[in-house]
Amino acid sequence: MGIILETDKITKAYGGFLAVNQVSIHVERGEVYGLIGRNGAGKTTLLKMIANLATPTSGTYSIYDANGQKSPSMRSKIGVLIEDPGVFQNLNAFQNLKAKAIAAGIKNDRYLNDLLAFVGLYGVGKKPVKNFSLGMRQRLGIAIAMVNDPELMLLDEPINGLDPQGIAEVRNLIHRLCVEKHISIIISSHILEELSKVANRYGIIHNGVLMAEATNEELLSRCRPRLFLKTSDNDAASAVLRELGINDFSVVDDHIEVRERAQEGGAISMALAQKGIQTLEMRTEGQSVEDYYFHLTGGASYV
Amino acid sequence: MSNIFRMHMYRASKAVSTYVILIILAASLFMTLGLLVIAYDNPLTAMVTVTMTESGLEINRLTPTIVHMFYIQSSNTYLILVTVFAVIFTNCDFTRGFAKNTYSMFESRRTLVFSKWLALVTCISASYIVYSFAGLGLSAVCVKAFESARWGDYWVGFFVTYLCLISLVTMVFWITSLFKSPAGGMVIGILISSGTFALIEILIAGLFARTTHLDINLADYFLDYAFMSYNGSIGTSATIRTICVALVYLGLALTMSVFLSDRKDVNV
Repeated sequence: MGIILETDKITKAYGGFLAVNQVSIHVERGEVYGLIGRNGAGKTTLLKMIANLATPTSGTYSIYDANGQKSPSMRSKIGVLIEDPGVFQNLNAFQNLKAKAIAAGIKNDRYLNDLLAFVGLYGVGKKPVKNFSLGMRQRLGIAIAMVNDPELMLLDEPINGLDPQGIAEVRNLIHRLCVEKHISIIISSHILEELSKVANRYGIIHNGVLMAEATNEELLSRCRPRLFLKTSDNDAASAVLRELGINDFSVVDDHIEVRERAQEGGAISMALAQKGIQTLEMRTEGQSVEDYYFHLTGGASYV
Repeated sequence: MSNIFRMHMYRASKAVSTYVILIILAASLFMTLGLLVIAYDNPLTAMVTVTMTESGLEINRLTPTIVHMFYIQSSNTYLILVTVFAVIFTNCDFTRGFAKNTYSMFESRRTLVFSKWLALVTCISASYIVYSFAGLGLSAVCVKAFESARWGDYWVGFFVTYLCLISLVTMVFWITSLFKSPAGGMVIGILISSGTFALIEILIAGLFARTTHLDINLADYFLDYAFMSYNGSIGTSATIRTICVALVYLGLALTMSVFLSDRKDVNV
């Protein structure tokens, strides 16, 4: 599909404090990129820089069109919902959409009604936004971000403060944006469980630094269980493993790390014993995606 | 640029505050008329202009220029309302966070800021024209037909006060954009338009004159003092100085607003 956005060592400093420190992320067209990090990690600042709401102290970012070319016109193809939805409280949903549409040079009222219908707000009538529920406001914020048919949307903590039903609605909306409208999305959150339901690629950010970037598959691969094996003769044990058809392993210092069929520890131990190799230590290691995230970001107590 | 201009006009037309200020302006029109009647009937009130003509000195009690200055300048209501509107207009899309939606669409913020200023000036200009002519019409009907209608003088006064007003509004626009604080902008704006700053400026000018012994009234070069002290006269050096001061402040405030906008983060 090609890349739609990449940042190159983008940095934002406020005085001596580095809110974002040399972050390089890569977002593919059509994917939902989950930016995960605890509160204050630098997610919002990073999104603000991409949205042109904050100027990077150093580093750059590039936005590419469908032909893979850097294009200034792509700026108008970015929809943002950063922090709270930016809406005029005394205006109704249609009037808020209309204000953004006028700024974008769109005169078609039917297009705006279609957007309201897409986010499930068609028919809210003249009710001012100040009387909306938080979930309705978030959906209106997404509708405003959708004006001008964006190719990239930046959604900053869109499920914050929502009740379970509101979370499900927004999640469903994000899924439809991606599948039906083919919009690439960067969504930030500090709730990994929620993010894992929509994202297919992640950037883990901590203290302004990008700790890891991985697809869903890569993340699962990094977190899958492995066998820690310490024997009396690691070279002979390696040969036994190959005989058993296990090839994804490596000798690390004084032990072997087996990444394939890690749950078959008993059978491996028996095969080693038959060859006269003593098993000194054997344990299954591994972590959930959440544990992996905590490991990178300094523990659950921070989140 | 025209799209952003239209967007600001649209949101202003939908804002409750616009209509509240319009209602207060309409009320102020009649209150000022009442004050004008009282001032006209009071022999101690100097509602007089003295003009040198070929036949000698000509004393006029009520000219269009006097009425215009009374409505726009002497009665602070109009200036205060215009300032309040300017602060609300400038801050509205920031306090509501809507600016995120528009600022993210453009690479440079200069067009956005200039369009917003243009929309503000359009609204203020419309109010100025309507308020001035409504005041003039009401005075002609309710007080007395003008004894001497020197329309040439009137248009000069009309233009100079307009220039000062737009310059003042641009200053408020810049200060409000700079601090992004509605309360702060409102306080500063009202202090300027009510003449409170002018007192400070007189004090500064006095200290300057005492320390430097220069024959210059520094206060003449402060925008609000120059505006408040302009009496609608034409062809004098004071008039030319007022025009120059207004133009310089207008140019500076607009340049600062537009060109510094790219450097500041949008904190909404």
